[in-house]
Amino acid sequence: MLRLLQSDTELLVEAGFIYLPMVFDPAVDKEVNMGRDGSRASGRAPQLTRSGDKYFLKSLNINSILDNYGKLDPQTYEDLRRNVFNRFLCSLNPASISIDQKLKTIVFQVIPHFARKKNRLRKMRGAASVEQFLDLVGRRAGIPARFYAEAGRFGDTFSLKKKIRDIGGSTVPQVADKGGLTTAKSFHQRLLKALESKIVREAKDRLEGLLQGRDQYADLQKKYIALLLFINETGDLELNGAGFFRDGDTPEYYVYVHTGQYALKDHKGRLYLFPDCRVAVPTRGPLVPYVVEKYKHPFLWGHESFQKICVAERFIPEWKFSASGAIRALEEGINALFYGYNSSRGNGYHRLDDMRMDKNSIVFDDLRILREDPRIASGEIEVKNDFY
Amino acid sequence: MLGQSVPLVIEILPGQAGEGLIDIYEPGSYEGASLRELVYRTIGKKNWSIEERQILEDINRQLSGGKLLIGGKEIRGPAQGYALLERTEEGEKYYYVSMRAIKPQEGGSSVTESS
Repeated sequence: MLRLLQSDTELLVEAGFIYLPMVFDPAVDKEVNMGRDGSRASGRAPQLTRSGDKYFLKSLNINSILDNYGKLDPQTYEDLRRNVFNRFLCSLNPASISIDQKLKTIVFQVIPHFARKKNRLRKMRGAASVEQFLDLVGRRAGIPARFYAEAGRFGDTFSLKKKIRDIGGSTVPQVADKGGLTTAKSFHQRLLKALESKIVREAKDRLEGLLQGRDQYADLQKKYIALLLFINETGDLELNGAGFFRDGDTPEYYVYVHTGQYALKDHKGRLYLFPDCRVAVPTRGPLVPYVVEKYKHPFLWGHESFQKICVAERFIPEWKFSASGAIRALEEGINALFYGYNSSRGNGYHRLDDMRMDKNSIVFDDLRILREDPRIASGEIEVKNDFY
Repeated sequence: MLGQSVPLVIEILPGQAGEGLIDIYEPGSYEGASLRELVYRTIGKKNWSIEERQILEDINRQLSGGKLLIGGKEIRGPAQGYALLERTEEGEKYYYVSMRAIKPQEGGSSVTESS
């Protein structure tokens, strides 16, 4: 296909299709004449057609080539996309046009639920508002001034709409408009121009869609928009034991809560000190809890990072990301690590005092501490399952 | 003993929430009562704000089959056993007790069964 488009082959462009030349045959001539009448009647492009004394056979739909050009010639397509971005879009900074809705849910709802408030005694009564929490986050985050400037422009959708409207002309040249005989090379050039216009149009549609999403931030103060723009760019945040981080280069995140150090007891009352870890839930479903760090625990199968926590059977995870679904999964995960191990039952994948030492055994002896450990006696470290 | 005549502030945190329901008992209103009694007196009150009612709902959900825990142990006896003397930013003294309402999820099965 690509070789054809880069050749000097003569083509006929007609009715939205490319027609390829074919050798003359009296039977073909008859069919062409019949086909012309039939196609005219139906309004469809004929299978065979003639230009002067040459015969052509219908081959590819031009719109279909445009729609699939990225698969036919990925390199050229990517070059075109990059060129469009550099010429028209980079000054607009698409990343600052909109803020990911998931991020807003994480920052406004999930993290505030878990982050321990330090100012409880000042208010004494009445729950702290999300704004109070965001003020605290803003103070700790050290947001650079440019994000406040961007936040100031965030509400100005009018000039941005105009900029988007002015990008690269408003009409897409129809590559099929200019019919008739041409060479494959010349047609290819027209095709690439049309493809560039298509990429521009798609980018404009996307930007306009993002711009519409700004309406939800209309009532938000500039300082909170600056905060959201800042963490939209940095991709992570942690405050008072709760936070999130971006999942690689994807637009997805992991929201997490630190457990802090804690202890569990076995059926003989011996204590095991578990290090701090992050219990995390992904924003892409199913919303189930993981332990981020390399970790071992009776409710984890192995001793590695990103293990799924064994939770109660009645827990049914949500698939679509929501604040309530993420909070429930995080609660469930921490609950399992802290309170799930019944020392008398020895439930879970492993027992703390497992003596069997088979191939799946996880040994917890290295976590053992004395009951008299000052951190236990002072209450600095809690024995979480002391009520069984 | 809660030896000083200062208010008692109790905070009940549902699950792992960072914020709990805070109630204040003036001197003379809490002495002699067990911490459990005070907690149920608090969650029986009706004059909560919308945000506080949300926290109260979470607490009640946890307490349905759950426990009130301090330091991994169920609460027992008077508040005096748990109270810490603290001060507000203005320097006013008060006793503070914080506990979690937890419904333990006895997840998994025993080692001999599948988890």
